[in-house]
Amino acid sequence: MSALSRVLARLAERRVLGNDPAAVAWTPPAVTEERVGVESFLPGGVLENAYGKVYLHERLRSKIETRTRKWGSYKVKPSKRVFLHEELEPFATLGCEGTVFFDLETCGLSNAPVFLAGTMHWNGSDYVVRQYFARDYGEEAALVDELARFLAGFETVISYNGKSYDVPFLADRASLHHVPFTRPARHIDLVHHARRRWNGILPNCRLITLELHVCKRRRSGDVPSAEVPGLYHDFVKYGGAHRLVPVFHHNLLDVTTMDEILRALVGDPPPELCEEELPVYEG
Amino acid sequence: MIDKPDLPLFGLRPWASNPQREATDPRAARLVEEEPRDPGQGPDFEEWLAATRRARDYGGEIVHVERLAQRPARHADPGQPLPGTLRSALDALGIQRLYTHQAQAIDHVRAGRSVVLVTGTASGKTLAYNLPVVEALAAEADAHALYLFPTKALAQDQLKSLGRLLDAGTGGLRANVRPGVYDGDTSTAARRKLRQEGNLVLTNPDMLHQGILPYHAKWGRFFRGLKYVVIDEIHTYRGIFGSNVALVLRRLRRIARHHGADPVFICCSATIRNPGELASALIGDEARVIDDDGAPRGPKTIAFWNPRFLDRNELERRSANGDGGRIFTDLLRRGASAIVFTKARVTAEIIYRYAHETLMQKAPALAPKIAPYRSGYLAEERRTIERRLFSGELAGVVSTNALELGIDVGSLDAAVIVGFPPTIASTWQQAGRAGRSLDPALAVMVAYNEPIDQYLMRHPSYFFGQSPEAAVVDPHNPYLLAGQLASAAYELPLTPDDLKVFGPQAGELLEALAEDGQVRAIDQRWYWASIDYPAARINLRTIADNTFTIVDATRGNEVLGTVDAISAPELVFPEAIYLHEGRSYFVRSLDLEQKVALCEPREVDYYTQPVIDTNIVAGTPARSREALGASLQYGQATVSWNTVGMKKVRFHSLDSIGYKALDLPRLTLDTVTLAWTPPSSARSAVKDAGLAPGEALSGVRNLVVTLMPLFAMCDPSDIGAVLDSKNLGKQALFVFDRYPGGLGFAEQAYHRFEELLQACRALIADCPCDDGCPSCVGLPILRPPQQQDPDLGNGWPMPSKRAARALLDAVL
Repeated sequence: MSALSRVLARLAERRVLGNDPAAVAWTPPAVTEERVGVESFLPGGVLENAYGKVYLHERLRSKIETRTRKWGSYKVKPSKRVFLHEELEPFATLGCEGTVFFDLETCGLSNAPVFLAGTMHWNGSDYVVRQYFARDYGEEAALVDELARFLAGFETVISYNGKSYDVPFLADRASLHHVPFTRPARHIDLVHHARRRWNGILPNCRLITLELHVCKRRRSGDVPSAEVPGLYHDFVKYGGAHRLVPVFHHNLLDVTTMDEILRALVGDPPPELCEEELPVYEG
Repeated sequence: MIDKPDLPLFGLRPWASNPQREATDPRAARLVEEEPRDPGQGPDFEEWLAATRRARDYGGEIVHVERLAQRPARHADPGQPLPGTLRSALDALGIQRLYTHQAQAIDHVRAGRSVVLVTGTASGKTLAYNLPVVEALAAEADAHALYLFPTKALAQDQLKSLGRLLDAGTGGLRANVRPGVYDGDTSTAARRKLRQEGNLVLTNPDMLHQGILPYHAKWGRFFRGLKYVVIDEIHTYRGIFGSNVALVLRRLRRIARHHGADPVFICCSATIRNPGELASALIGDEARVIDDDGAPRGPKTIAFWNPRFLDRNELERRSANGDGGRIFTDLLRRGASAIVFTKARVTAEIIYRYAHETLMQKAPALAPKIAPYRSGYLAEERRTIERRLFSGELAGVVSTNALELGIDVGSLDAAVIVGFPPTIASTWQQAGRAGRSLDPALAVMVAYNEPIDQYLMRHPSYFFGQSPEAAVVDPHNPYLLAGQLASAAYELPLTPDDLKVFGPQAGELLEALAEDGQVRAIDQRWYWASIDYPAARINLRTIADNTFTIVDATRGNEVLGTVDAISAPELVFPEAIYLHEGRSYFVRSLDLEQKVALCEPREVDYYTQPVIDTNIVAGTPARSREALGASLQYGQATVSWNTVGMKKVRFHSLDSIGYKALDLPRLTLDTVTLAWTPPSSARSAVKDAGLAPGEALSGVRNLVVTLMPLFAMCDPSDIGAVLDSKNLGKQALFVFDRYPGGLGFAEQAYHRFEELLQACRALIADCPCDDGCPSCVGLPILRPPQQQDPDLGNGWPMPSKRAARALLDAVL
């Protein structure tokens, strides 16, 4: 029998007898002590703003992956230059200064909190990866505020499906918490460009599909998106930071993959994959 | 009935002087050209009454006639005049001045005070709320309003009505007021538009609960400016549905507060005993009652028609459906327009067919001018019928109570109500369909041979006096509260202030939900902590997840109906005969895991009754008082029962043709009960008369179950009653709510127990039967399934009419 059923029976009896539980003022449960958290595998610090605290982990990409000579640059050899959409053109000539990639991990498609935001930007010599993490539901407002202000500091924001999902999602959560949020003025959503380029060539344009075929990278033991919300809820309720390791990893890979997709789109695909050699998939 | 070909005709009626009626009737424009009627040519219902009574085959069916006098309009002006734009719209609609209640409503609402309007049908309640709302929305760019209706159809009709106001005159109100319906049928694009740009949203409680409040982040702009919430037909929000709606409204106020708004509520109610109390319980705040009805009324005649007995035993009466159909056709043949209200679709169809056949024989020109109407029709078909009624193409409609709620079909001359609707409030609403402005109107109430119908036939004062019906809601029922708290937590984390709104049990319920992993407390707030979406699991009309579905196995498990888990073992036990919409079905199996009862249609000549073994354990009484010389108590109780067998009873002869033992699991229900032990003096009085006190109390028990719906606006199936001696040492009557935690019905009975017993005595005293009949204490075999009294052994307890009478006389 669930706790709820027990309490329901007790309350039904009690309210009739007039023993109003209101006589005993409701005291909220004691504040939980600090538990061993994600710091063990994700070194970082706590940010504090007007909305509370949020955890931030920051790392250089060179510490995660092997640097390639293409990092920071999207220059294309004139012979290999493909027809570029006007949104992508600047990357071929100017690179990615003033640009930030971002991706959210949330507890559902809507009406659920966001708990993890991954961002990546070029600092002149390396990519800087950040992960803003709400260690419990109470830190979401601070996360949204930090992220909003961080993104506002860039000229261009890049996402994958962010126009339909990530940005509206953020706007709703900001509205809920009364956090000021303005939609980014320049927002490049790579999914539209990917579809233009690879529809009919690849089986679909999900990020993980592109990662496999375009970036030639296969994830091992990746956590399915559908399981992510449950993992976070369990972490908040029962602890166990290890649960979230795959979620952070997933988020990290999403963000770095976006950069590789951008590079492929701008026209400098990995040597093995040229236009003529791309296999054609039926249906 | 009279059968003359040259019945006096009532003739055409020009539109009389109720412009507010016209405002909602597109015919208004055309009728200006019609000639005024000659005096004496209007509908003459006195003549009809007289002619009916004179008829050769009249059987004394008209048992009461009440004549309500004509009433002129009473006007008033609001404290501040209406703005020019609204004035011009009203002028264009022919409305010069407002009625008293409309002006009062506007004054209160402008001052920021929530109100509940309790005035009759067609009294201009709609205008009373549309005016202050439109005024505010037109004046302020960021003012918004939400309108709640119990049905989608009503919302659509009110949208049209609002549209007529907005389009009238030259004020250009349309530019500033952007209304739209937001419900299950609204397209995605229309939904987005309404969220982003609309300032007046019309919806229903189910949509608010599942489709708006959980998504309030997308509605930020709308909630920020929410100034008014209109709740129409609040008397329909009672029992489980009403209690859930009360909680949904608390969630609404909380969300509005979160976005910075504190709306004023404008409620409308039919006439019930406690409109102010109901409105306050629903909105969680004080609501002022406005019942100074200033709308004009033509003379109204209300006739009570009790079909005659068929036999000397006076057990069966002629079919009310037949009599109702005859009255209908008779009125039509006299040139009146009429509507018939029935309680079931099947009945509406039967009466329609009968009326059609009769007209084909006796007045063929009229036959195509009648139509059946039920809510199952598509919206388009509904509109067609409504249009044809307006234009006069149709003279008569046979309907279910689908047309009772405010939907505008213009006025008809007469309403024939077949079977008590089953509340007095509904009856007045249906009767209100008759009467075009100041013209005479007629309503005929035709009784079924059922206890409440018969009771009203004999005690019309119950109907015409102050309403005895109290609408009961219980927003503190913990079972309902648990589900609504979960929905609230999902929408927005709950703070200690929020908990005060939901009542003293909220804290403990949340702790239980936390233990079950649904919510988590962090820094004085409760957050939703699960991937579940609670609002999807909650049906506003049921109290728990355990609803049984009754399906027809021969038609691909088509759903016939649903029943709650408590009633399932009584109603659809294996081999039971289940009656639905006039057909009988045999229950093949009852699956307690899947909660499905499989049936097949079967024509049989018997019906079944469960034999139920009941047990009641009453806890310490919470309240007690003296009532009628004895102690009356109210408190918690655990009722348990199981179906141990079934009886087959042949129709008509009432012979018992079989008994079979059954073995269904025992059910337990934690609820509230009242307990009454008749004083020993009364018991002695019964014994002295040579009668058995047990049989007396058994009769009283049946009467109480029959009459409680008149007091608490519940169904007989919402309550249960048993006799038991084990609890109090003496035989006592227990009346309890058949819902976990109780919903307020037994409580209502506890407060009005004396009134209830008075009504019981009146019912028996005037019943012409000798020994008991279905209309009073009930024959033992014709009673609906009752808990078997633990006291009276395994035989059928026999209620004795005389004994019950003696007992009641002794205490009252």
